[in-house]
Amino acid sequence: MRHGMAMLMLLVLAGCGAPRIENVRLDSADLVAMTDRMAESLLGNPAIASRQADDEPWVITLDRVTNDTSDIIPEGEKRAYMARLRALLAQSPALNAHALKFVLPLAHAQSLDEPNRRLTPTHALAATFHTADNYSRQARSAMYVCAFELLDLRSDQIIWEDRYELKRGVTRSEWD
Amino acid sequence: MRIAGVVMLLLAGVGCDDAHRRAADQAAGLYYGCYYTEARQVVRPEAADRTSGDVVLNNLRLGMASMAWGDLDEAQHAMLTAYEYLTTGHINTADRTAAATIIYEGNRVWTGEPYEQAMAFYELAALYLVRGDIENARAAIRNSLFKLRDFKADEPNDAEGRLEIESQFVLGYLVLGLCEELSGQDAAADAALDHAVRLNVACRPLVERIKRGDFDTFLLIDYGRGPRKHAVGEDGAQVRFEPDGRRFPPPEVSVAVDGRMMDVPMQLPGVDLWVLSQYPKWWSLDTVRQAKSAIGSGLAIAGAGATVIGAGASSKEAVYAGLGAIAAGLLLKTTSRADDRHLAMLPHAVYLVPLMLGELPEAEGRHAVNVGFTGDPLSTMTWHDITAGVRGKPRFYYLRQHDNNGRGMPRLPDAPLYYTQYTERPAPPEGLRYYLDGGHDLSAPADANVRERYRAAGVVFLPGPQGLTGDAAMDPMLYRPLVLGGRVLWSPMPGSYGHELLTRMQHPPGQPPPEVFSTGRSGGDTMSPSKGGSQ
Repeated sequence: MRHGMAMLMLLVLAGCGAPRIENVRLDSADLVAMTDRMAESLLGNPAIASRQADDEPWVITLDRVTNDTSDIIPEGEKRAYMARLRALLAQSPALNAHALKFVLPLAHAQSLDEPNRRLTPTHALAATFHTADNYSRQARSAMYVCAFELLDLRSDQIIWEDRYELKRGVTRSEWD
Repeated sequence: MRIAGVVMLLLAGVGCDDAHRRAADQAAGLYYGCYYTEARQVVRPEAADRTSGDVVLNNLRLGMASMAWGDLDEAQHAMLTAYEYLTTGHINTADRTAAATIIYEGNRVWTGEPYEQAMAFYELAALYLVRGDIENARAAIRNSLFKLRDFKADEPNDAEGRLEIESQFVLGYLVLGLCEELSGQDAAADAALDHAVRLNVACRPLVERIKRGDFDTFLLIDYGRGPRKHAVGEDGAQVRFEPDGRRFPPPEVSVAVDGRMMDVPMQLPGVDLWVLSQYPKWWSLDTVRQAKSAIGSGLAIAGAGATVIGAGASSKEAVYAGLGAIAAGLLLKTTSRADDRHLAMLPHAVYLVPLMLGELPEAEGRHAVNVGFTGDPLSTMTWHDITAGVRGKPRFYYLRQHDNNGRGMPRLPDAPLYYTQYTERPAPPEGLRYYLDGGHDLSAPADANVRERYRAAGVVFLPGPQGLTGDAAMDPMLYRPLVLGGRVLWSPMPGSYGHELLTRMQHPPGQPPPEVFSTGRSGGDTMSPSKGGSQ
């Protein structure tokens, strides 16, 4: 019994547990939830819902997310948000029903063999992520505001905008 | 006897990371001898160990050594790993917390003193600036501006009598303002830059230059050796950061480009870590340690008293209780020793120098930039092949200068001995004149497929794991240049020690494996069998 207690103490006190990660960063679940909601919101917008299949097409370009947060977002993740949103919209029958087309961002198109065949965009789908942060040695919290908007490039009008908000917080012990 | 055994076992279990720590600690010595490749080689396997309590420290070590060498990919991978942990909560598992509290502070996961954390975020921001990623540089530097706890405030608001105050990290505000300015966020830039001036009025000329946008090149200079952390005082429960910054003012920086002295708006550093590390608001845990030591002393004294009284009264119980208290007290005192792990690769000081190189008469667009420090000629270095960006989109260079363990930074010729992809001169197909000096003319038509032959010989064209995992990915040859006996035919970007080493230092002529040239030199076009394996 005593040996067992000693071993238990030893195991507890040896203190070799792998470091844990529990942070306030955006993750893949946020990516899915955010893009699902934005796709639904965009297609439900009256300016788009009222469009007919034989209307003059809107040619939409979309690039990566602009990061104005306090969190590092790798280049691939910035593109992943917009890529998933584009894929969701492209899979929707509403895309043809409302005469919407997507084109590659200019930089991507220029890297292709025939960049001149790219349609001239009439609209741009953009996203900027912001945070309001509060962090100290004891705690860290971040309020994310992920703002999406569809701009008419011919008139600079905002056709649609929506945002996805979430708040995250973690605390730290004296030893963290 | 059994109790003593348990105590011995506990003490033995204190340092589950000790063997690894000793190995990784060598990295700083190699780093300050400019043996960056070797420093990375030592620390790389340790940095990959996600179970280690030093995972943050080792990844920062790997990141900083990789930045100094010029391997930005490995630097980014390592520093992002450290970042992930530095921004987390509850990093310590319950057993680590218990062990750190009861046994030894060094059992916790190292996350550094607050000044080390702030600097880690700065180094990450510097990395992104060099890569031209202003958004992520801004994100990184925002993390450096966390709130501090001051021990001397008049209005204490926590249980230990400390007040939470806004960050006073001048370097952080300067870099944040710079990033905001380059992002076109003028109001945010002004707020950060003006705050920097309020904290240190000497920043004003630099701030005005940043606001004017009057630069196309920006030097981020890490100078000298950072403070070293020692356990001192009774039971080693207190820490001291040496050298004491108050006795060693930082030197002024001077910059000459192609032999012309340049106007440096702020010759003093944006941060002096020798000074910063002297302030308790940039420390952590000191109070806990001292309390533990004091309790230990009290228990030992009380135990000694009880033992003496018990012996006088012939009370076995009192004697045993007293001896137990002495043992507990001594254990507490022994284990209250401060954790002296620290990021020794941090600099003494950081200088920010904006330059306007585009207006200078060009030497093929490449400039030799000499950076010197008053009273410290050993740390002077000339960096070659520096090219300008443009106004509004400057090119950033991270320069690491120190006295090279007293030997001085190397004095290197301005003309390159070896060509790289950055020298923009006629060069052999793979850009490096390494094998040319060995008598192998790679520009000959018969060697048109030389890249394939190189591959067949195990040569790789970028440093890194090459898609391998586990121990295979740790093969040091995958990160070491050909001229240093490795397999990598690639050169780091200018402004790094690796670029200088590869382009300006004389190396023995290359002796490729015979199969690389066995067909090419005789005019054949079939490849020889692979020796090192194609990657």
